[in-house]
Amino acid sequence: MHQLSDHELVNEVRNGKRQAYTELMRRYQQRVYWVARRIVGSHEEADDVAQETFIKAYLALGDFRGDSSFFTWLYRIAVNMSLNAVRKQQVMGYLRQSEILSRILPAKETPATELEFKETESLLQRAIEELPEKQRAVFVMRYFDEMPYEEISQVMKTSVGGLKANYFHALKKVQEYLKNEA
Amino acid sequence: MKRRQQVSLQADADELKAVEELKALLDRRGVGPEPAPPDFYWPNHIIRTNHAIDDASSGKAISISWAARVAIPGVVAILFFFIGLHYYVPQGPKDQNTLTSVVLSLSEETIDSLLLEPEHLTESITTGELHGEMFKLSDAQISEYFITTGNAQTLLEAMEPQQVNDLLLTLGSHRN
Repeated sequence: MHQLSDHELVNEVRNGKRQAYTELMRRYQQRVYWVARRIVGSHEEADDVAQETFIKAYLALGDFRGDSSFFTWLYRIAVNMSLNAVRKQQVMGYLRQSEILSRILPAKETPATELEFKETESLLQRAIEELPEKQRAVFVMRYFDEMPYEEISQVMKTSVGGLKANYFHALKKVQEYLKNEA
Repeated sequence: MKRRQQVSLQADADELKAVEELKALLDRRGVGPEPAPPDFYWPNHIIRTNHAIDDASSGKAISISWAARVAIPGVVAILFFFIGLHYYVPQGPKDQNTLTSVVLSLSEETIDSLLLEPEHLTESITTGELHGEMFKLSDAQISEYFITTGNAQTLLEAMEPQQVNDLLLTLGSHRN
């Protein structure tokens, strides 16, 4: 199973061999987790997003045509799920600030899973969270994963030129934030 | 073409320089990498995800949409109501309470209150039309239910990404 390529594993899954999908998860879970973590900003959310990404990918395997690599396709799902999670965080933030709704909405709960570990959000992560969501995704993919622009372009469905400009501005914004933060 | 290549090379060089500056800044500030989950997290994550995939794809776990969670109890109640009205023929002693006799003794307002959208009822509405109306809940009613029971998180998680986008834009414009 370890020697099979991603496309071969996908075909195995389509033929009903679930352990082939477990192998795909094993290969990419850390990358999926970390892209989610850096976009959404917390371990708990990243855990949810990563799980949802793999579930969605499994259920949508029939739609994977092989035009791109399996990882690029999976990564695109992970980025989109992460951006959806960010938007929902923003909506909940607005609702909590509402005078009326803040009385009836539960307070933000502290995660209490057995896998909870102490996370301290770094200054860099805080800087990243100041970026608009799509720019955040581009920054994460280029800076941390060092993905080629052509691949990011397939994930974000944006031109390479636009991505380069976007990333450059993101770098400058992050630098500015770090310089201004005490 | 040559000019374009020069511009591209310059852009790449600028980017490289900006990345180096950022890394140097992070070093000076003593900013380290994000803490990683413990080693046992990864195999555990695979196990949990596999279970979730089994639930999602086997159909054994009932995935109830948020609308159905609200609608099902009401639908069941109204279904029994109409079954009693249309199929139960009262027999036996007159002093025995039957579903029909109980229903017939209810006031019109009480019967209307069982319906989900009483404002849609008209004098000429047929039973068939009523059946169709019974099983509909407007988005506003469902949303109101979740908001007043403090379950906005559940509502939010069930929303489509485009709906979340639209809501975000609306909230943002109201704040401004």
